[in-house]
Amino acid sequence: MTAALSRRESLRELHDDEPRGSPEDARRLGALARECGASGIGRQVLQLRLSDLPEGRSRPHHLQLAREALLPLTGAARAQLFHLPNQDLVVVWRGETPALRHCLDALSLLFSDDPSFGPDPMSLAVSLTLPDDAEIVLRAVEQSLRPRRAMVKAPTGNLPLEPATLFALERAIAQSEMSRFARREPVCRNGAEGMRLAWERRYLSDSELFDTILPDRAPRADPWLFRRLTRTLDRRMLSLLSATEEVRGVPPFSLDLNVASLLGPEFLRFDANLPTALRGYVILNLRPEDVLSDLASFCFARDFARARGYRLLLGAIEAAQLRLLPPARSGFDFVAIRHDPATAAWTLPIDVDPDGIVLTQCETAGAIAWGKAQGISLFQGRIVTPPRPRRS
Amino acid sequence: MGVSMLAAGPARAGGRPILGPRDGGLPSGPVLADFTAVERLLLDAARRAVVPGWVALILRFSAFPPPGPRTYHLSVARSLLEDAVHRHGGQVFAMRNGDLVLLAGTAVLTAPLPAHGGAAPGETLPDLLLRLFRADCAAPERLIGILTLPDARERLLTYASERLGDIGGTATGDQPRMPIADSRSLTSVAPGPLPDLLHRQTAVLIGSEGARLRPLFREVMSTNAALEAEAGDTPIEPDPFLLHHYAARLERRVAAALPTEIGRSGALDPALAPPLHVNISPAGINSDAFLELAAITHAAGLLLGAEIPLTDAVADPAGLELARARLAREDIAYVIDEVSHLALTMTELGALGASLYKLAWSPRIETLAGAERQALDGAIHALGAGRLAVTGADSEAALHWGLARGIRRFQGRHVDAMLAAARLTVCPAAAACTLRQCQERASAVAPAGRHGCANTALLDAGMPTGAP
Repeated sequence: MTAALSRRESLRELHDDEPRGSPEDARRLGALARECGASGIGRQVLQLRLSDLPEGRSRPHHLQLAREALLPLTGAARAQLFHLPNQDLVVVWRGETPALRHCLDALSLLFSDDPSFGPDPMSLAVSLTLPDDAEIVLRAVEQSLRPRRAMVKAPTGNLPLEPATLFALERAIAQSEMSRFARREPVCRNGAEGMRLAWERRYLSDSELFDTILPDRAPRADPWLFRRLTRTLDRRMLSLLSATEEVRGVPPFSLDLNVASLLGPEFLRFDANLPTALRGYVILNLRPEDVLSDLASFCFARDFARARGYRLLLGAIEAAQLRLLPPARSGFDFVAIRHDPATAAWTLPIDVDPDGIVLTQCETAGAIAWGKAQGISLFQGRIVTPPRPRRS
Repeated sequence: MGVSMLAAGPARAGGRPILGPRDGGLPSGPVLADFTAVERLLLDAARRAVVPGWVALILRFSAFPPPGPRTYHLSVARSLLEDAVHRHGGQVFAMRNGDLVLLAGTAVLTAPLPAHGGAAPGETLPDLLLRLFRADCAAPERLIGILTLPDARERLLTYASERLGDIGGTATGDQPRMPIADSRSLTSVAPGPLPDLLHRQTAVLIGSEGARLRPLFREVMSTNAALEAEAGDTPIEPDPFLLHHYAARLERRVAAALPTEIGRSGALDPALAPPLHVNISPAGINSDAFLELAAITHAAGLLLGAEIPLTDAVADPAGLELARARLAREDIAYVIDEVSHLALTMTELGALGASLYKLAWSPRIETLAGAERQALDGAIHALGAGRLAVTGADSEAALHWGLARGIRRFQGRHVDAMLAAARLTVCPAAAACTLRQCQERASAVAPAGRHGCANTALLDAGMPTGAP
């Protein structure tokens, strides 16, 4: 492959029916990342993680569409295209280009018609900067060279949920032992001493739960039935946390809840059992569409929760939605904003207090850097978890 | 436990905090075997209320303004009263009519609530209750009665006697007055032809002098019957998310059915008629069926508008962006629907970029006072009264309220009646019709609903040209 792609070459390569992932491309990308890291030469990187596509979405025509979405970028200055052995595609180029925006827009549309689509379509595209993200690029290269492993299992079911199935699922959830699906995810505050735990998000892993008890269905395929299901999960989570041992001596935590759940008997029981030491340190995470669907209930729930010492978090929203939902007007203490490659082109409005913003889905150092540049200090996401041990 | 527990005074710390029917596992002590004793126990406690230093705090949920209290009003209030009992002692009586009565020492009224970092400094239990109920009740102070004992003992006795009288003094095992459901329930309805289950309503612009009406658009909407038919035989409990699910399913059917109704000399034909608006989600707009509808309406010379519920717009920002682009490309009006007055004040709706926002009228709007009223007026001013339409204008009050704020676009049953009256004044066949018939026929989409009208061109136009 030449250092820069001609339009014709890029078209031909991107239109290949059989992707030509090669170890050679992986090694060359690794060399380029190391070179940038050593010399400080700046490059932009877009990684298209086709290896993350669920089985039903990685058929040749899907891959073809995804590859074509990269086309605008191949015209950028010093653009290079790398086919990694695991089918991931990486484009590296120099300088800013409006083609990135076009490319991300096209990618966002790829699977937008399918709400059951496992990963967020935008998480398929990772925008990186060299030399800052050289380590992430090298890790991607390393992973692509490994034998194809059992990846994190994406939801395999594709049958939509129907109300009758939903009711059966709710009954199953009501009778299942749920503690094995309970998870914690750190939310860290970046300060003078680096990242420190601010609180833990405690939740039930719905994807693992559904894979276990309803593997042939895609519960997210119907957004409204799925939201209804989250209320059942809320109740089970609150029941779990009503046990004294679950809340004794634990750090501050947040809970994902529906407004209706906040006003239900399980929450009142949870509230009655909450240790005094945790009063003022539990954060309730509400979704915007749930809040807006019944604002009178929300206002009641908000005032009740605050009087009982809870703090409220709205999220996660897209950065652009912040203008629509000014946190100061709705009485939220925090707003969670999802980071995605498009966020990099956005600036926090001047009237929004960055101390009240939590940047979620941070997957790259670039995301953290962007957040810091905006004055944001609270972060959540894969890169915010404790670093994994390095391979020798 | 029996009446003897209360022998030493009206109530005492450490006793069972809640007396009365339970509503779903709230933390409380053992349940009385005989619920009916609650009203009698309150009466007994009132008779013994001779010791100074006690108060009765009565939450009159039975006087909650229509449509009544919701389940959570009662459960949360009960939880707060119980918490007060844990801190100050006393007892809570849950009346069968929904009222809650707290008998406790006076400190329960005056002691600031624990700060917890969230409660307002110095806020007391009555303050908090007033604040909580204000969102749903214009005068929450009317819901809360405070009787200082023993001075007001007679009033407590009277109240307790009345409650006992409510149940005839001997009722056994009756359920308490149920709060309204959080959402209406669905019942099974046999599915019929979809157009029969659709409904249309004309929105108007009222002239600056308040006299002249101009039809703006006809909204085609699903009726409750259509939603119920969509649910079929599935047993459904009241749930807003289930309703949304069925609404989304119905939306697809409506989008597929409408093209067949256009061009058949029916209710959706374009002759002299204002633009047609449909209720639809971003996903619906991004579907092929909507493109087909757009093409057919365009070919028929009919202008189209898409009304997206605010909740759908917020739930699907990526879909909304695509939908907006498609609407702009197809020259279709983009409207945000189902905006409550609270949403207007708590969001920056202008960020959605719609040409029109439909504010759902509620009698609560008229009763807003102070800061809430100022916030709403400020939001209307900021968005622009010209970009707002008041929907659900079923009474003259809605029109007066809107016009006083510069809003001139209205939709609702009162508007329907005004349009029907205007049609009847000029229609040559009016002698055979009543106002109500004209109104109902104008709202029908299916031919059967229009049967009996001899002047469907006027019916579809909404308003005679040049009429005042």
